[in-house]
Amino acid sequence: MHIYDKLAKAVVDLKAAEVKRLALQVLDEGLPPSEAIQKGLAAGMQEVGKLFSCKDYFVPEVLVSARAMYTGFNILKPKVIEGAVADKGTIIIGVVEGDYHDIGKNIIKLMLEASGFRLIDLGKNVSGDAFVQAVNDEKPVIVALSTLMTTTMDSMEEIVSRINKESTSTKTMIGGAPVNPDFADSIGAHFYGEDVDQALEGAHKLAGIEA
Amino acid sequence: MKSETFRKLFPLLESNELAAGPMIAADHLAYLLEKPLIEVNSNADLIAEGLLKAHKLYDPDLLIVFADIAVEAEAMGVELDYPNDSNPHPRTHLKLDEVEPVDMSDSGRIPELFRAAEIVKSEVPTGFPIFISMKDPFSLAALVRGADDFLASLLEEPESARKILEICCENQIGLVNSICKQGFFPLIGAPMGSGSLIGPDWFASFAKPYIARLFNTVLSCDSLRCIHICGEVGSLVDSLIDLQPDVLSFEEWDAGMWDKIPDTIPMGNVSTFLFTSDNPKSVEQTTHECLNNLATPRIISTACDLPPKANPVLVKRMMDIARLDAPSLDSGHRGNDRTITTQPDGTAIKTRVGANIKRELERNGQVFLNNCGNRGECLSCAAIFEENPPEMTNREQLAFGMDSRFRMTCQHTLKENITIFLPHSGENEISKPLSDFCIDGGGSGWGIGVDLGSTVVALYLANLKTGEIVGQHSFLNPQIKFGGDVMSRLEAAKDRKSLLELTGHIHSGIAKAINYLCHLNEIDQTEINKIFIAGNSVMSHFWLGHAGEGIERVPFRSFLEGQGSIKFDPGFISLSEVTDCRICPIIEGFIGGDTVAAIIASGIDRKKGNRLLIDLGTNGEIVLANDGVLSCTSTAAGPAFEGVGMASGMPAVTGAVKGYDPEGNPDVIGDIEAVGICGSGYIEVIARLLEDGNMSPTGLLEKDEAGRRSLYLSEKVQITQDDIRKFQLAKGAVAAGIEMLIRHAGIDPASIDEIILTGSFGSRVDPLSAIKVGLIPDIQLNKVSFIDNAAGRGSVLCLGNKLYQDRAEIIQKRAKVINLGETDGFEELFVKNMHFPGSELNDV
Repeated sequence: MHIYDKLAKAVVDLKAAEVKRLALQVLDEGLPPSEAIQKGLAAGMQEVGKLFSCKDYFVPEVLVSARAMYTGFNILKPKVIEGAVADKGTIIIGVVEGDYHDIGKNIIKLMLEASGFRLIDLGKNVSGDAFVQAVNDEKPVIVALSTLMTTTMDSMEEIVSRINKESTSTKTMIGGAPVNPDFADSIGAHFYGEDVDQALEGAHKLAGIEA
Repeated sequence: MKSETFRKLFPLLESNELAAGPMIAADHLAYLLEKPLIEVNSNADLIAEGLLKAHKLYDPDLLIVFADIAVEAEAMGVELDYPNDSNPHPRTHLKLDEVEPVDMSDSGRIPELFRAAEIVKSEVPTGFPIFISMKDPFSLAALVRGADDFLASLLEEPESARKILEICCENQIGLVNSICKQGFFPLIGAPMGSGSLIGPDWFASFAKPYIARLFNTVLSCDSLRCIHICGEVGSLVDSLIDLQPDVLSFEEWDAGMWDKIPDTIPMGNVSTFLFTSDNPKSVEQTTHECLNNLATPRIISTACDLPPKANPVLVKRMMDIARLDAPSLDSGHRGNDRTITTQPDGTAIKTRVGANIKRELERNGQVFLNNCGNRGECLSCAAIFEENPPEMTNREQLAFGMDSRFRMTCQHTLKENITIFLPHSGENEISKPLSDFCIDGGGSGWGIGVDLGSTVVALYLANLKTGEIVGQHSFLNPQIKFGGDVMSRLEAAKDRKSLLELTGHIHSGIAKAINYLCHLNEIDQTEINKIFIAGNSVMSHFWLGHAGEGIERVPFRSFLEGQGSIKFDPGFISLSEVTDCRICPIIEGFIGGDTVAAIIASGIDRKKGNRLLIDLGTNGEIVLANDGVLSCTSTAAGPAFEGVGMASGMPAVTGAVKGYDPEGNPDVIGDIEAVGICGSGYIEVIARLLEDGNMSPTGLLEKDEAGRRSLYLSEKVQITQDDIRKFQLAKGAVAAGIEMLIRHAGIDPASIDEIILTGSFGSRVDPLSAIKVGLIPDIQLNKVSFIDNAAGRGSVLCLGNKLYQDRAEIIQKRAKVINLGETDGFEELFVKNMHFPGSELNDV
């Protein structure tokens, strides 16, 4: 088995120590770290995403595999030569004002990050002002918003419309239990993602790149 | 009063609440018959044919014989022009001295209209209401004299205007008599005498007196006073109070109006403009609004007569929505040529093609714990179709699998005769009596304690002198029509009208229940001296007419916090002002008076040691008492513990797997073949799966031969991977909440002296299984106990002795709330607790 495949497998198997050992080995052998990130770590996270979608994996497994992935990422990333990893663009993510539930957001965040986007996480209970500020500062390709409660959907509507007004080049995508494609349409959001797969696909589509 | 009127008008309907039918004139009939209007509007046979076609097509509860508005003017001598394809209109008008008394029923096209009505009558069942439309004298006078001239004459020569009105009125009195005598209902239309056109003052002096005379005639014929007023009617309310119509058909209305004419049945008011579009959405929405806005009994109808080219699909849509989404379905008079046979009891329900199956079951006394408002999202109405199950909805495919014979009855209408197995048959254990219990006596009269929950409302009648609990009664919270969960009701409450309804529904629900309890126990309502309501936090807000603003979003705070027990107006529930009415204090946010009452009932605030009180509901409240010092939290566990949203989930009723018997076989309520699994059943089943190694501690099910991660307990009952995941979320939330409280209090889990479970689910759960799945901390089994109806017990304790009420206020002041969402480390605890004991994944 190639070392990249071993890396991917270690991520899927939730083995942080193994990932660390393999990442150091990659550097020892003089392999390109950017390739190890893509073909090893990111590929592993992609597999984790699939297992999550078919419910073989659950929230704890995803978070632990992410931890394993970051162990390797933190070793390899500093050694990456500038420009060797394709930059897919910046995504701002956050849970809208009025809501604290952020586990779903966290999962989407790390999947997007693993796939090569640069993520800026505004956290939970994030106001429209904070989103707009971040949009102006960071010029993201996409703003991703989530909420778990029906009662904060109007908060989402307000924030999406403010972002759309603020920047025509920024796309918005939304997710969360109470929202659906019709709601996304009605508030002017550019994409609704039902799960991890759709969120990944949608983010690439909105960013205008191949997954 | 209103309901008697309704019964008189619709003797064939089984519903006492709802009738529906559009208003149709000859122009739409001609469209339906695909004939030019000129052939139809003066031909009794074609008018009747059109009405019968409309009857077949729209399946209305009433029919109106209505050619056009010029019929009576014509009968009085006005010459009409008959265009080929639009309504006839006056060519000339009558001069003052040409207006004469006429025998209306024998003039112009009116005899044809009577003949049309007779034909229709012979084709529909006896008792089916047929109206004949006619004008009020004011509108008739305007048509006879020409609207401009007539309106001008009101100012310039009121005497002559009155003379004309007098004659028109006499003529119409004759017409009313003929209509009533032949067994039809007069529908008096006032197209000119509307609020928008002439305003309240002119209406009061020139329209109202003559309508009143027609109404007197109607009453003398023992018929009903039915009127249609075009335009806006709110400003006419003073006149309407005097007129007291039995039925008021209208276009636009004012919110406060109906309270002033409480005996009038509203009829309306789906805007007719909507029917010419090709978008069913707005028709659906407006029909829903009518259903929500108009108090029962009501007639869902169009705001005016349908436009000629109204889209029949949309008219049908209005009818379907009115029937399906109204609280009860009426179908008595239609050919009951289909049968629903329900098993295991074998009851046969006679009904008709097209009836919504769930509604039919409800009409026959079936009670469903409705969690989703008939959207097909919960499984509370699921049944097994023995043969020819209808085509599956997408959601059913997901919930039951492609081959399943399970269907959600709210999603299907009847086509063939069917036999279905109803998992819900048998007694519904929604609340148990408190026979083992008594409170401090020594008072006088009677008291009523209430556990006001979002799903079930339970009332307990206490003898305040002896302290005995002599009766109890429970009912499903009628607010459920706004959604099963509190969040959707909070969302609805943002709309002022919906809030009024949310509050009104529960006030009248409890007033009725009190009435019932008094009647049953032969107690006069005036002897009720105290009411104490322990409410779920959101329910408490609605009870007081408050929308609960602030409670629905971060940081989840309420204006009721720190206010003690609040007195409310006994008038809410039709009691005299001497009754002492209070609601239990809430603690904070979602931790409501029901939790306070449960704490009182458990006594954990007064005992030494470390004690946990856990309410396992959709919103699981957890209270930890550390030598009487209380900390509490609320976790959004979701409905998984009630079996909702699970592939074979169902309430704890006949046919539900509730656990395993000593031999290790599934233990089914009612000892019949298993049809599903109830909440407590899931705990035992999942504990067993874990023990037998069929599921890993991470929650992953073993694959079956076909490679699917699901497991059949019996032919019909399965547990899927998705079920396990939902259960893990619920269990993880509660277990993490418990762990968080323990951590905050700085105690050792092993030092817990007592765990008390409560809630409808909590009272049936097996403690050993709850420990095995990691729902509650691992302590000796004899330290785990249950309290049934804890909130109900607490509420009656407060009736008996003021000290308990004081305690409730102390609990409100002193209990410390841990808001999990704001607490560092909760996410980690939640994620860790999603796994089952034995997982190696402790260090997330």
